[in-house]
Amino acid sequence: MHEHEHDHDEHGHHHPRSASEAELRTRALEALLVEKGIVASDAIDAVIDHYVNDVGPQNGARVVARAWSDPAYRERLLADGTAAIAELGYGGEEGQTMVVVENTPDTHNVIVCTLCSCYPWPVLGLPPTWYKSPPYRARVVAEPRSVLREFDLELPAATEIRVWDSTAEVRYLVLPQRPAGSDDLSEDELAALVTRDSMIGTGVPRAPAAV
Amino acid sequence: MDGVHDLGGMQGFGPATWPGAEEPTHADWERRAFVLALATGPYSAHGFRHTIERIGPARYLEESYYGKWLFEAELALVETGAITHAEVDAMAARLAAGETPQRTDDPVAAAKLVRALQRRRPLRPPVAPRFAVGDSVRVRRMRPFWHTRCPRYLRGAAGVIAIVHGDDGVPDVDNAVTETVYAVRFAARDLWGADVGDHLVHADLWQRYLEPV
Repeated sequence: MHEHEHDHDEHGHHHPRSASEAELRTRALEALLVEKGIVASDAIDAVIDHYVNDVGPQNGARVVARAWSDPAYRERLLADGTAAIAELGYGGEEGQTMVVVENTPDTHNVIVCTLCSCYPWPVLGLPPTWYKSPPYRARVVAEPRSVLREFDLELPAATEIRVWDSTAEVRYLVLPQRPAGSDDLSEDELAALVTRDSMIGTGVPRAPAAV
Repeated sequence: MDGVHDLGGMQGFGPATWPGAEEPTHADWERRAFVLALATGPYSAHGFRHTIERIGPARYLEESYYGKWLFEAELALVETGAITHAEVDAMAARLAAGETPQRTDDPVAAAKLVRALQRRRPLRPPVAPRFAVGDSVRVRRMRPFWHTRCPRYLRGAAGVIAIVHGDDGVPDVDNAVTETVYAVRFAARDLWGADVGDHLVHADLWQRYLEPV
């Protein structure tokens, strides 16, 4: 055992903390880092603002809506997801190399990270709690149909399910099927149909009437 | 390291989602712990993940998600010598006693950090890939002592190369060597038997995890 682990045990931090303990520890760590000049207070605020307000599934929805509206863009997106997503200005940490997998009438894709919580931040933002929790990570690779049913998604028996376990530095985005009855919609209207879960594969886009 | 974080195929964890599980974060401290872990590098995804994997199995499963990030941020900073646990203890005592934390702003550093998170670093094109799309491969059996990104549920299984992604540093040796990364396609029944059905599972695997069939 390394010396730091002894140190850690002796200070009694080896047990799960209550939320109030974690909050105090976080405030203490931040205050210490600011006092030591390691991090600036507004840098922390700026990164939170970036991931809460600038980045989120609205970005992925724009990618999907463009692919539905523009066949040439769809082809570029499926051939080189990283470059096509960068055309719309999205990229960076946890989205350095992007692969877009397309749902069809016969095929349904779903993404997971069994080892941690890899998720395409630039296009989907930070992952929902269930995505990074043990049940989803453990189960969706082995029993996708029963997991999808818990998200109220029942797929036809003939649909081939393809699970993508994000075990390296490639991040996946599902290109869902364009909903029936959306032919006359603008790109903005199409983007409003695209849900976060439809780009993870645990859902499908909204029907046009539901917008 | 074959730890409890390697969850693929395990059973007994209950429902995949539950009320409240839709939100990415639930409290301000979670967002701040997330940023502290992100901002106080040197950011190596492999080192970051390995630190979280060292939390210990019981705590790993019980700790909240951002509780794990907080653990990582503090331990990584202690291990680089930037801080000590005792210093965090002392600051926590000061704050608990009612002291208001000092605030220092640096707009240039803040903008630089946000820009750094958007820097583009895609995988490099493959230089000398050993395998091509359609090749049959088998995942090697192994018992790694440091970090690995080769999940247990795939070891020994046969699959087919689906995508040649590009070259990237090998996690198991903390990026000291670069190898080609492949998406490998497996039939779920080859992993868990016929009862699991007909779905396909893909995983992204470094070349050293694979041998030709």
